[in-house]
Amino acid sequence: MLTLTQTLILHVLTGLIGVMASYTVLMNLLGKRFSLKLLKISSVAAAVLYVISWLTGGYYYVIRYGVEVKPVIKAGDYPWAHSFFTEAKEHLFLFMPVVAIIVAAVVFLYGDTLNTTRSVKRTTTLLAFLVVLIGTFVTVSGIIISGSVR
Amino acid sequence: MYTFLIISHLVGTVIGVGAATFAEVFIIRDLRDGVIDPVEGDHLRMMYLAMRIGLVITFLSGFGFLLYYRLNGLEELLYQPKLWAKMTIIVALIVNAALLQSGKMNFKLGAGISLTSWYAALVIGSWREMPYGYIEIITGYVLLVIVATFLLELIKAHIIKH
Amino acid sequence: MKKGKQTQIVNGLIAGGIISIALVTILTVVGDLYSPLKDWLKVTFSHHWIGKGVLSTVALILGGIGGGLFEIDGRKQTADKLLSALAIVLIVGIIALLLFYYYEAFLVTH
Repeated sequence: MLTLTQTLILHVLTGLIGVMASYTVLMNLLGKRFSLKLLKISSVAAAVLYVISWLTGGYYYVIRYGVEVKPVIKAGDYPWAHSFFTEAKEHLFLFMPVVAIIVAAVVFLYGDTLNTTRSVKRTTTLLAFLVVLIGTFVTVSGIIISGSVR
Repeated sequence: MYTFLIISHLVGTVIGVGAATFAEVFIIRDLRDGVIDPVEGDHLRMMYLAMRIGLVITFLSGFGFLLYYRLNGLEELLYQPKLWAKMTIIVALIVNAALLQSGKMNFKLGAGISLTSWYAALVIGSWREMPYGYIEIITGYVLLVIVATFLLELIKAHIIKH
Repeated sequence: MKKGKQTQIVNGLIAGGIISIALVTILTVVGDLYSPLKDWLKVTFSHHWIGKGVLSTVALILGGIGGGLFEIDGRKQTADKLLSALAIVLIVGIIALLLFYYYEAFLVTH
């Protein structure tokens, strides 16, 4: 069984590597030609890592953050760190595994024909970009929230 | 743990800065005849791969530091202006790479951003008692991007001419 | 698995994704403005956030299973349209949540 500290570390690392995997998906789709193998691996990796980050983050959030950390932040110099960043982060994050799973499914369904089905490629690229964008916001929020715990 | 993070971060930075520098050196050298042949293209691809590896190592170890601060009662370090400036510059580097990949970034400006970003991150990370705030650092960075882009073009034009 | 079946499942998954994202957005905004809804989520799932996560996952999975079981439209053109709809719902969801929490955190006096 993991300690709460280990859970937090796992949550951060899997989320971070997940965003890197989504960025790899994005970069692959933005190029003129993509490596289907890399696209498949990175899209599945992103989806799996987000689910792990979700579960570990949720566990930490319910067991420790809500009980011990949130009151400290709200009573401190940066209460907005919780009211905006934590709240926005915890809800926007819910979109990430859903969209990442769908992007992976589309990559596997279309395979190499994704390159010639321009409208689907364009929309899938947009979805990958949005996941990276949310991931960036969630990551930055995590730093801000952590910094407000004094 | 902290020593491991420092070493990893330095290794990542060295690889990234080195690869970014030599990518420009090779491009300037290879463009002397106006064409990048397949062998030259391969060397460049290797440099870009090294840059990505350097970025991954630096990125992960950088976040390792943030986690370290959080877990060791050093949360105030997470609000340091120079840390946020460095993170902004890394985001600029990553966005620049995506724009270059999609053909939406002018190659000359992209090269300037890439090279300046790596060196700026190196300098900011090394400069312990940096006396500047976030706005000053980013302003300096933007100016350096312009200067670097201009200088790279000047060097390329001089080398190609001769 | 036949290609047509695969497309049905993926189309179902995308449709489930659209519902999932819309559901999270609506539950979040309405839940914070109308406490009985948030209370219901808390009572049913032990925590409102867990409730939103569970319901969004159920929507996604049911979409995928439903797409395959009920043999919904298995055309790739449909996948194209559904993906566009998903992108739109996602953008609207992101903006809605950011604006809502900005409003709650910085503009409303509690």
